[in-house]
This record gives sequence, C-alpha cells and structure tokens, in this order.
Amino acid sequence: MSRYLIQRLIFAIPVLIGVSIAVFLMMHLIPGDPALALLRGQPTVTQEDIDRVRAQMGLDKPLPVQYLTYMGNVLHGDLGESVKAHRPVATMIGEQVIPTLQLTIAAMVVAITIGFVLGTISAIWQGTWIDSLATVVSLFGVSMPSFWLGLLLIYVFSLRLGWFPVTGSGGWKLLVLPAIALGADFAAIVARLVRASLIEVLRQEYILTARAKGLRETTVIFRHALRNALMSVITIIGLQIGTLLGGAVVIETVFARQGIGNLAITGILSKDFPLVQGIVLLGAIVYVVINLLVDVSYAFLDPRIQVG
Amino acid sequence: MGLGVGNPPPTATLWARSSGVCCLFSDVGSCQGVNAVTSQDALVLDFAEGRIDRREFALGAFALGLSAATVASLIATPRAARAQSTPASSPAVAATPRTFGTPGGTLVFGAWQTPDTMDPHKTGLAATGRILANVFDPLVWRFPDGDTYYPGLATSWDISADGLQYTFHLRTDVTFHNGEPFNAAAVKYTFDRLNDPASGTLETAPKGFNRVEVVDDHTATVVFDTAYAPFLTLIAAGSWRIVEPKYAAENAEGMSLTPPGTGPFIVTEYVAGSHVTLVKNQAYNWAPEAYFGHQGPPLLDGIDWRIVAEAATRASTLESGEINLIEEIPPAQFESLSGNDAITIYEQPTLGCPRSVQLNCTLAPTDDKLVRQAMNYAVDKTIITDVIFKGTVKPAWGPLEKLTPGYNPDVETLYPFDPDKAKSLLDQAGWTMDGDVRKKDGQELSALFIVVANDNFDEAAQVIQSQFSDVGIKLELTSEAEPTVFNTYNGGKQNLANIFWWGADPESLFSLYHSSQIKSGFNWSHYTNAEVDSLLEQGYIESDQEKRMDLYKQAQMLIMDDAALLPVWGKMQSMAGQKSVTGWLYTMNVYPLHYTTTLS
Repeated sequence: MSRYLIQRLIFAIPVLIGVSIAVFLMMHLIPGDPALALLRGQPTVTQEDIDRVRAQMGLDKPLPVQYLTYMGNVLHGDLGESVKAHRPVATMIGEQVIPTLQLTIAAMVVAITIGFVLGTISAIWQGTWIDSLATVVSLFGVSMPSFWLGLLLIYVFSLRLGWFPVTGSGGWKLLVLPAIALGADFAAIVARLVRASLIEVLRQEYILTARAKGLRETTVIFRHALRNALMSVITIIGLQIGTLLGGAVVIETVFARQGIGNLAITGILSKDFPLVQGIVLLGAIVYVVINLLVDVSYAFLDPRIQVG
Repeated sequence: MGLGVGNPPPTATLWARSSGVCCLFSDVGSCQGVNAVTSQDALVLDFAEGRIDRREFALGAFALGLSAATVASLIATPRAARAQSTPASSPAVAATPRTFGTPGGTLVFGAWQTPDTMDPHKTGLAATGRILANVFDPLVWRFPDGDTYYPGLATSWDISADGLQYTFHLRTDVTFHNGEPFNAAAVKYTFDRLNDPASGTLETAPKGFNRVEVVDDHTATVVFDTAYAPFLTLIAAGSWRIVEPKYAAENAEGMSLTPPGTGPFIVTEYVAGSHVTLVKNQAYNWAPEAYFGHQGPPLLDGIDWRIVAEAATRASTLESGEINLIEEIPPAQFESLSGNDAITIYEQPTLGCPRSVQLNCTLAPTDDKLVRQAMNYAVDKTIITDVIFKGTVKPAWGPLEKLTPGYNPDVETLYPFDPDKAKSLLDQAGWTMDGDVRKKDGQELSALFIVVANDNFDEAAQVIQSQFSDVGIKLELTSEAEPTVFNTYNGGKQNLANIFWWGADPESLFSLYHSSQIKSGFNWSHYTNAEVDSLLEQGYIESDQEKRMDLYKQAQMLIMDDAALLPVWGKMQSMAGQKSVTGWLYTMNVYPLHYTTTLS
C-alpha cells in the first residue's frame, strides 16, 4: 500500500514539471513582446522604456535561466508580482481561495443532496412516471448551461420573488443561488449514478435476504442498499471537483462573487500574465493532487489495485 | 472596453481600450436570428408585422444583399417608436444654484469592472479612475460643461509668460485621509514619483516636465523645459493625482489597496473582484462651491462600490432594488430597463476621439484622397447608430468628440451621406464600374479592413462593407486581437483600422494624427501633413487658450479635408439608476462625481 502511494507520488512529479514548463512558456508563446504589450498606451514608447521593462521582467536573460529563476521563486511560494495590481500574486490568490472553496463545497452539498434524493426516488420507483420525471429533471440539469441557469435563478428568486440577494453582504443567503447554478449539472450526474448503482444493488441476493428477514423497506434501502451504492459515487465526486472549479469561473462572474474564477477572468482580460500564470499553475496542482487522491482512494477501497 | 475609459492622456487609453470596450454593448447579438429569413419579402413582412425589430431587419437585409439605401428607406419608420427608449438628459449640466435631495445613506453602485490597483499612478483603467475621482481632489478643477477653471487644492495659480512655470498657491487647511497635511512637499513628491522610472509608475510626468520647486510650505512651482499648454485641463481630468508622501514611500501594499487622498470620500476597503468601500470624509471642506453649490462633507454617508461584471446581473440587481445605480448598459438591457418606471437611464457623451475608422493614406487604394473622401460620403451612419445601437449613440463627423474643448462644429457638414457624390469622386479618381466592383487598369477597387477583435465594431464593419459595396468598393474584413493588432496597424498592412480615444484636451489629436506617431503611436492613418503637424505642435505651446483652440479647429478641418479617417459614432457612457437617486456631476473626463449625489 505505501509502496503504491510512493510510486504515485513519484509519477506526479514529471507531470507537475511539465505543467510548470507549459505555464512558464505561456507568456513567451503569445505573439508580440510582453514588455511592449505592457507599455502600450503610453503616448511615446522609446527603446529605453522597452529595455527597462524587459530588464524589470527578467526578459533579457536566456529562457532556461528565466525558467529556473521562476521555478526557484515558485518553490519559495513566490509567484511573482501582478503587473496590474502591483501586489504579490500568491497574496492575491490566497485572498480568493476561501470564497471559491465555499462556493465549491456548497455546490457539492447541493449536488449530492439533490442527486441522492432524485437517484433514490428513481431507483425505488423504477420504470414508473416518477422515474421518468426524475430523468427529465436530470436531463434538464445536465443540458442547461450554468450561466443561463444562473441568470434564470437571479430573475426568479432575486428579482421577482426577492428571496435571495445577489451582491453585497448577505451571509449564507448569497451562497444559495450560485451553489444551485453551479451544482445542477453535477446533481444530475449523481442522480443518474445513484439510480444505476442502487438498481444494481437492489438486485443483489443480500437485499433479498434482508427483505426476507422482514426488515422495513426504509431500512433495506438506507441501511443496506444505499451504503453499498455509495462507492461509485464517491470516486466520481473527486473527479468532479476539477469541473466544479472550472464552473466557478462562470458562476462567479454571473453572480458577481469574488473568487479564483473572477480573479482569473480579470487577469486574462487585463493581460496580467504573472497573475494568470499563478492561477493556472495552482489549478494544475490542485488537479494533479485530486487525481492522486482519487487513485489512492481506489487502492484504499479495493486492495486488489496495484501499480501496473 | 467595456467601456473602459482610460485616464486622461498621458497614460490613457490602452487599458481603456482593452477592458472597456469589449463589454460595452456586449450583448449586441449576431445575425443568426435572421437565418430563417429567406427572402426580402418575408423579411419586410416580418418587420412590418413586428416579428423582428429594426436591427434584426437591417442585418437580415444586409445578409440578403440589399443596398444600404434600400434598407434605410425600408426602415424609415416613425421615430416615435424609439422615443420611449430615449434616455433622459444627463444631470451633468450644473446650473448653480442647485437643489439637493435628502443627505445621508449609502449609495450602492454596480460597477461593470474590477479596478486593477488603487494606486493612482499605477493604473490607466477607467474602472479605477471612476473611483479615484471621488477620493483624490485635483489642484485645479474644470468641468465638461464650460471652460472655466475653479480652485481645487490650489486657491490660485500663475503661469509664466513663456508658459514654462506654473506656480500653485496651495490651500493651507487640507489634510490627507490619514491625517497628514497637504502641502508643497506633497506636490513635489508626487511629480518626482511620476518622473522616476524606478518608482514603477504607469503614468509619467507631463511632457516637457523638468522639476517642482518648493517655494514655501504652501507654494509650489512646476517647471517645464518646453511649454505644455494642456497641463491645467489634464490636471482637472484626474492626471497626476497628489499622493501623501510618507504613506506612498513606506506602504506600497497600502497604496494599491486604500491610498489616502484629499477628496470627499475615503477608501476604507478594497477587495478585488468584489467591492470597494468608500466612506464620507468628515473633514472635507475644500470643494469649489461656485460649481457644486455645496460646501463641507459630501451628502452621502458612503458608497458601496460593488463589482458586478455581468450586464444582465447588474440590470436585475438594479430592478430588484439591491443596487441604486449601475453603469454600462448594453442595448439589450437598455430596452428592458427603459420600460421600468422606477428607473431612469442616463447617457453621457464623452470626450476624446469618437469611434472611427482610420484610413491608411500610404497604402493603395486609400492612398488616394478622392477614394478616402468617397468612403466618407458612402456611409449612412444612422444605420449604425439607430439600428445596431438602437439610437443609444449618435453619428460622429470629425476627429474629436463634440464635447471636447476646441471641437470644430464645421466638420459636421463636410461629408453628408451622399452615395452619388461618392460614386462621382470614384469616377474622377479613375475607378470605373465593372460589374459589381469598380476597376482601374484591370485592378479591382478593393480595400482591407483589419477590425480589432472583440471591440464592439464587428457589426458596424459589416454595415460599412455593405455600404461601400453600394458604390462599388470591395471591402475585405478580417479581424485581429489586441495587442498584436496595434503592431499590425503601425506596420500599415491595413487600409482601414478602427480606433477611439479618451482625452479631455484636443491634444489627443497629436497621438492620432501627428506624423511622429506613425511607427509607434496611434497614427494608424499613416497620415503626414506638415501643416497639421505644425498646428498640433503649436497646440502644446500656445498659452492663449482661445488661440490654442483655433489651432485645433484648423487641424480638424485639414484632417477631415484629407479624409484621414471616417468618423462613425460618438462614445457614450451610460448609467441607470432608481429615479430617486440624483445629483452627481462629472469630472473633466466625465467620471461621475458623487460629492452631491443623494438617494432621495
């Protein structure tokens, strides 16, 4: 088990190095001189200005030197300074982590709750109109673009009904609509998954045994069936976290929330390369780590799995 | 750029461009909605019966290849239909004495874009400038509705006869938000900071700047090597904001978040992507009462400046009452908001150079003045202003926006929409009709328009293409993104380039039409005219403002006679608010000043 864990960790290192090179090269692959791009808008740009900015940005050194300097800084937690905000990128990202985590976790709670309820109902009443209705609802959730759902939720629950504010300081109330908008897609996936595995489990002989023992149907479903149907859902949750983080970019913009996604958009629109680099690098690390955790959890749940 | 309005000139516009405009009117749709329309008859029927609106109709018509003139005649429907969405006149016109609403309360403002940094010298972004206009006072005030200068942080000022020395006599009772006194040392520190490359500011000291001399504690003289006549106007437009020396020197992080200014509101918190909190400066007692009609602390207790990037969300939160006042209303929201009785829409014209197409004077076929003039006669701008933008903008006729000081109204009659005149000029230039396109020596009359991507110009470019085609000019449209498109423009591969500019002084013309600005500036017309060059150079030196404006008026006529550009429409700055919210005024570069804003 520990040998497997160590091997997975070692495999993650080249991936991270590759990602860091890609992120680093991002700034050099875009057409045009980054220094000139930064200076654009000054009424007169002289060659001295360009040289000064290039030196400030370290662009006058050979590429490998620049990369090693960059990585050295990154390993010390220094992601550089934003060229627009003039503040450390690591600080700026740090400030936005909590709101995005709140949104992501709230969306997962929404998704899992709705997903399990819908999935269980579908499985229990499999083949009836209730099942069909739940299927339609899930399809709706998967097909609806999140930004559209977000605007719809704002229109109905904020503008028309006035139940939830969209901006400002409203505590948990501010989290409800964005969490639903972000979690809807995931809820639908969970619902389908729960339905399928529950139907599968309900066909097992030990369920028959449980029923034969005269246990109440609720006990059979919740104590025996659902617990075993959970396994497949847990692994998908890990994989979906990355998708949720990506979706946060859209949802944070629609709901005017602060967060990593909003910061990324700002960085991209203002061509703040150090900031975008930092966010992309962080996103890649989160993705790699989550994948690692999912792999490890497989091994943990199923001892038969070994490194192939 | 969503309408990002850049700070005034020195650092101006690029950020403005890239950020501001893309969002402005971002909801203007594509033509896909009319794909189903298969014939002109069906289209006209749809329009007549109200199934599609004027814009969809016009786009559909263009898709069908109808001529611009045909479309114009087909949609000449009563303007009354549009009257209901015509914005109220802006409250900017300050007729003192003014009356105010009830003081108190916190204004909740919905901003379309997050500020980059609060450090006034390290930003060129309008999103930041609009906040800082309420946080930092200028040495001298001036407003867009007149040419009077009012005392600000300086009670009076003297300009030496040669225009090289500006001596400011400063107020003695002003303190920064952190309690430090405002004095001549602060003025000197500010200009030194801007002039020192090591301080990493984006804004630079004014052109020709030499030094600041501290005459005494409350007298400072700004010394120039060469005269710089736009100085006072640009100060009023928010350039070179005076910062607190000790704080700026010791607290870089603080400068980028909550810099202390001298204005009516204090920034107490700035959370990127979320909000900026402004509170009333109780000590504020140095407003130019002659203009504002008010003295003392601001009427509002504070401003909750929320960043709401998505236009539909801004509109919803305004309608639900969660937000009092929003900015940047795209046409899509414009229609729905104008139907709401509780809400007023404000359209404020801006300063600088209008949304224009610069015509390359050195690349065939636009190197021929007759061709460029023909292009100016060939375009019916009302199709763009009334159909694409639903009447929310107005046609532009010259290289400057109407509100800019020194604007020459004579340009307005130079190039009316006159396709026949366009055709005869082209005939005169030797381009004769051959099928659908004009030809000369077997060569087609074809021009290349490289449009700035995501710059809200695509539909206008299509209209121009269609109208050019009516007079026999073939226009090829391609698109390229910022910032590389600017290098392309400087290189001169294009016949047509689209541009606009924010600036409170007519000196903006220098950046766009002086021959020194071809290779690295914004003279994408590649325009060289010794007379214009000379007028624009004198414009920096002439100290008599009336004579100075005359120079720019002459330059505008020469530039238009050479048809170095095709002006299209004037930029607008839109806001919408609850009816009860009133009282704001505008800075010289039309940023709202909330000093006298009230909620009821």
